Amino acid sequence: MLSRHSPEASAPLSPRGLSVARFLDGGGIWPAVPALVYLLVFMVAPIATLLTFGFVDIDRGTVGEGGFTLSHMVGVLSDPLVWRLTWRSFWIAVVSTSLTLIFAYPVAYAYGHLRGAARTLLLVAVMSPLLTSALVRTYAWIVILGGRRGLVNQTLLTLGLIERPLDILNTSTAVLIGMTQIHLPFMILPLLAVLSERDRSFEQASLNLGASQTVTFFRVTVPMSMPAIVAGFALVFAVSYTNFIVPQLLGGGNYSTIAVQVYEQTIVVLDWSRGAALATLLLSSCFVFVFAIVAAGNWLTRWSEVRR
Amino acid sequence: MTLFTNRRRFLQSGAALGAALAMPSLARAQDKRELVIVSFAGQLQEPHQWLARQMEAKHPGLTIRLVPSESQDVVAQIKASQGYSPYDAMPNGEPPHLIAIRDSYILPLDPAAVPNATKAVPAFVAKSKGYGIPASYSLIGIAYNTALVKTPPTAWKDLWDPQYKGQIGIPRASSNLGLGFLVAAAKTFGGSETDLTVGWEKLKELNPKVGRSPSQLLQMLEREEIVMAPIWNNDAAGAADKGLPIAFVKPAPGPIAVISFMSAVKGTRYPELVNEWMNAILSPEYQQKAAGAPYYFGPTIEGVEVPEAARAYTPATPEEVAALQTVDWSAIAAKRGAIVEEFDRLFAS
Repeated sequence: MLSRHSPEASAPLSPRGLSVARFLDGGGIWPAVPALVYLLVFMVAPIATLLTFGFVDIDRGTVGEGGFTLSHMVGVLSDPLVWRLTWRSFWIAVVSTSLTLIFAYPVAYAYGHLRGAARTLLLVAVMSPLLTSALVRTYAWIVILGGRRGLVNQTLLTLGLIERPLDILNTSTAVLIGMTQIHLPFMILPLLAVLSERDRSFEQASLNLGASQTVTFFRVTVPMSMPAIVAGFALVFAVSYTNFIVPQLLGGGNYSTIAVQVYEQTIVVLDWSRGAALATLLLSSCFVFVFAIVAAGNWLTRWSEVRR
Repeated sequence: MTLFTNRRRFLQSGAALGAALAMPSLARAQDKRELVIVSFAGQLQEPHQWLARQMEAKHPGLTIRLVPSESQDVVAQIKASQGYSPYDAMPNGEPPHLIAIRDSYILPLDPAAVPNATKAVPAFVAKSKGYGIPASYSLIGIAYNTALVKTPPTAWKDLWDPQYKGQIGIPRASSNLGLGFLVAAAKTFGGSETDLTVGWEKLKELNPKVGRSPSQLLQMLEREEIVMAPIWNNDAAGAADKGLPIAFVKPAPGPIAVISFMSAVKGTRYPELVNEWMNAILSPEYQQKAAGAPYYFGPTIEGVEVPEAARAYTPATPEEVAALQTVDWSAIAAKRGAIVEEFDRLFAS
């Protein structure tokens, strides 16, 4: 039997025959087909359905006869409540992502300077929260922050630092605390990969040329880690902006974001068209913000290369 | 003679053999039936569990799966299933019951198939609008933390006592509890089901903390985040039964009674079993069990005695029954979406 690669089979193939041969050989998109089919069925189709629901009338679970309409989208975009909640979603995502970066950077930097067991222990400490569900970690924050019996208030009351328990749970502060802690690993991991593998000779050169440790850190180390900062920032921003569990559990019943509104409209009010229109707004605005972060990151990286 | 004369005969024989082999499993599949019924969460599910075990014993091969869920999640699933509902029967409080009738995802009652329906209190049956059976009723009253409130509240207006401002918990207006309390607030200060303006103003005046569910409100009471909250009698009873410092009062001029209807879901595979389930719900044995400790579901058939332990939670005397407040839910249910949005405009923005 002749192999396709044997000298006997090396007769020139037509362009079409060549592409078929390459396809059968495992080239092109062939290995990706199972993944593509999976994505098509379980991601593209549901998202397309969701987006479509925002532009048709849905009555009792079925699409009405009215056809395409912009009324739901116009209703959502002209509602001041929606804009206030979009601003809140954005603000809480920006602040919690910035806090995550501030807490994550020293950990990733320290990891690069550790060796042996200490390094492994730090990695385990960073990864271990990912072994439990975000829901469980959010409930843990309820125990820590909640009421007079919460750990924080009980400690402060026992120490005599406060007379009345602080209102932390069911406020923006609780949502910020929860989101920052829960999303911390997503910021640490990209930073850790870049900072631990960085070329130290640049920093040594900077120090040898007379720059202080601080100047070297901000002018050399930080610019070198900029790609990881951008990746972590985009990732944590996206999961914070669209997070539904943390605002729902730590923000209380009088705290809402766009993600919470999508749930309310779909499950509670059963207005699927408005729910889908809100989801479209959430999804598209998140895409725009992430794109802006990546574009800003590219610009910053270019700037840092010029300065370096 | 050859065993199979030609290919056609061979295929026919093979098909017959396959069918014969499959028959026992087909027969077994017919015996094995699963009834999926929406139920309450936690301890309040126990009366349903008790009834399910009895029906399973009566029908070999029958499994009754009780799904603890908020009716709102269930409704979304039924709508999404496009006529292939994963549930056979479900309980609904009055507001979602009316919505279920409007959206036609529950079935009208066949009184001939549910003979116990004649035993039910006529006033409750009338509110079912011919769909399902009145399974129980619950009260919306006030729960308070006994360690923090030394003088128990006696009336709805006690929630507006200035000393408790900022320390009152309220439910979201999306739930039956929240809708009921909104109406109670409106009625206490001169409003009504059709004029909720004063109710909204009074809710805002409380500067309240908002719980997403009755269990979240009870947790807030336990953690001393709030001192009082409107709550279901059954939930308060369950918390007190666990030893938490939580007590329940039936506030003047009267707590709000909300009936829960058990109905067959449209598209159920076993309508005769669902009828049997609804009939058993209206049996004196089930009603007595559900009225007992620590569930305290209000009985909906004549002649069920309210046990002594339930007196704090369920009306026992004719005067108490007469004081119960009912709500004209037809005026509220239709506006539910707008009420939820108004709530978010006032409290969540």
